Amino acid sequence: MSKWCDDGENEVLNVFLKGTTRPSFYLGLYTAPSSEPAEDITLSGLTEPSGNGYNRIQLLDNDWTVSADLATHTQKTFSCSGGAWGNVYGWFLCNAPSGTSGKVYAVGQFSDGPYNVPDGGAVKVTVKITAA
Amino acid sequence: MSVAKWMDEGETRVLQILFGSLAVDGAYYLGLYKNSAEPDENITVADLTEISGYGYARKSLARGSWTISGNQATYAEQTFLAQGGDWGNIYGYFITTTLTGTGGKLVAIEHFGTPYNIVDGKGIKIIPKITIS
Repeated sequence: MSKWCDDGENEVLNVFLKGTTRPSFYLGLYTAPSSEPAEDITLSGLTEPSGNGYNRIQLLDNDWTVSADLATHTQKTFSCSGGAWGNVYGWFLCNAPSGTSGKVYAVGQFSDGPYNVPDGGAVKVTVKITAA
Repeated sequence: MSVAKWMDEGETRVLQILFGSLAVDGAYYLGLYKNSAEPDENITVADLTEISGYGYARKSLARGSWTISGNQATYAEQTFLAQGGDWGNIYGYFITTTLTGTGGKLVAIEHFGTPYNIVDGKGIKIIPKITIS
């Protein structure tokens, strides 16, 4: 299950009520912390897989479906090649393609995770997030 | 007064605008209602009994004029003044996407703990507040 983070809540209000420019959204994976991140988490508080084919994936507007209070994005696949990533505990949504200077909008801890991703393995993520 | 709660139509609109399937609204509009029971989240503007006449009109809440801190948005105080007759008991305020009528989307409401009985010449001051969590 996913949840909004503090920076995400602030961004929602700024876009909705102030008309600030919508950010680009990027999906990433984290290998730490192992427990669900707190809402005040920042990018520097998350550890991502390093190398072996890992990169954040941009989520495009046309791939979102909004139904009632639920937004769902088409499934994205992270493929591991060249070495293992180890245990992946969840995903995060942010506004930066890389680095730690962006904002974390939401996180989703895998309820049936972690997924131990070996060389040649993959993680498929379908981002779902509610507004309530 | 406390903070307004999101309505179903408001939640959908937030996601549609955030993820790009709908353009941002130019303004929202603040109104008063007379429904004595707190409305469910799934109601629409048509389900609200709005004040009628005696100087009543929805107030425009301009885009960009909200103050946002953390997960709370606050708008400057708005005053509704009854002129020429009584409005009676006001039970809450609502935020919608249109200046008049029932065709707009109901974004949020706040139901007052106790109603305010507004008579001719008197007014009610509202500071719209809304949070997301």
